[in-house]
Amino acid sequence: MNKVLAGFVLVALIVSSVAILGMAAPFKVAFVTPSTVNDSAWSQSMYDALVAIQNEMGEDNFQFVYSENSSLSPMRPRRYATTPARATTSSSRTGHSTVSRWLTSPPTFRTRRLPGVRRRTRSRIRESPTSSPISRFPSRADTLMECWRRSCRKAA
Amino acid sequence: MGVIGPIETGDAKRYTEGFEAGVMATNPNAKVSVTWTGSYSDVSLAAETARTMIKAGADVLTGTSQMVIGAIGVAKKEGAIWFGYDVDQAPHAPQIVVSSVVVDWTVALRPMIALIQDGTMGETVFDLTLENGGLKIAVNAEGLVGKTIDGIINGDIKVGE
Repeated sequence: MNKVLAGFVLVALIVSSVAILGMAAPFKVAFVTPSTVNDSAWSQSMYDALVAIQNEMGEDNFQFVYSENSSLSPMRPRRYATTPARATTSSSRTGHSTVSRWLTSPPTFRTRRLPGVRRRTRSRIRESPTSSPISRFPSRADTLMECWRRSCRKAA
Repeated sequence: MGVIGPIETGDAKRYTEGFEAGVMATNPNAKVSVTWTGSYSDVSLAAETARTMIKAGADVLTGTSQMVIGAIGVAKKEGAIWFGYDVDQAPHAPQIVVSSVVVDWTVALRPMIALIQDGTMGETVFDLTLENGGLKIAVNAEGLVGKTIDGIINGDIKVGE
């Protein structure tokens, strides 16, 4: 059974490529996932692969950060795309905005603090709870706020 | 047999079709019920789907995406056999998991990284197969198949000469 990965996993981001003071820069990856890195499914398989790659290449040459439970915010991959990562992995759902952005305009690399971003450390492995199914859907408060913004209170 | 899938697309669709093909190749009279829940993460919906399938007579279940943790719990409770996908899911229910298709993304990530480092961005499709090691079958050593294999190896189970 083949598994085609096109458009599913890796979105390459352009970055100044090689040397800083004569030393090769580490390869940096931002991993945005809709569930948790211990979800016993896709996210865990990708996380395990990133850990394996880091063990092969060494932390000096390969670094990654990850953000879990990001399905509520399809904009989050876009925010990653503005940071100095060389590649962003994301699931087929949350990755679309990143793909679109990269294909339509080269990313810029403004450094900013990103909410929910965690640097991968060994101590965090396997400690996250399973993602809540409820987190995928907007809350009633969100819906009401959106309704209010659209001035549809009268209709309601 | 019951298959609990999230949305009928991508690797979930491929896995489901492969599982169905495997079942029918083994026993053309087998019945395979496929349910697409419409969600990747709705654990309770996956559990309810599994419960319904077992009540309808399913002996074997499988499924994809992070929601299946709910289905595995139901299968464990009801004693249905489970085939895993993505990672080795045997630790969740050693008694009922036969095997898992384990996806090894390093097979794709290594060449991706090399291409990016060489300045090539995108436009390349990578396949993960049993042949190139991107897909692996993890047999649950504590399950019936695993114990059978061990039994044959250590001589507890006699096979034909």
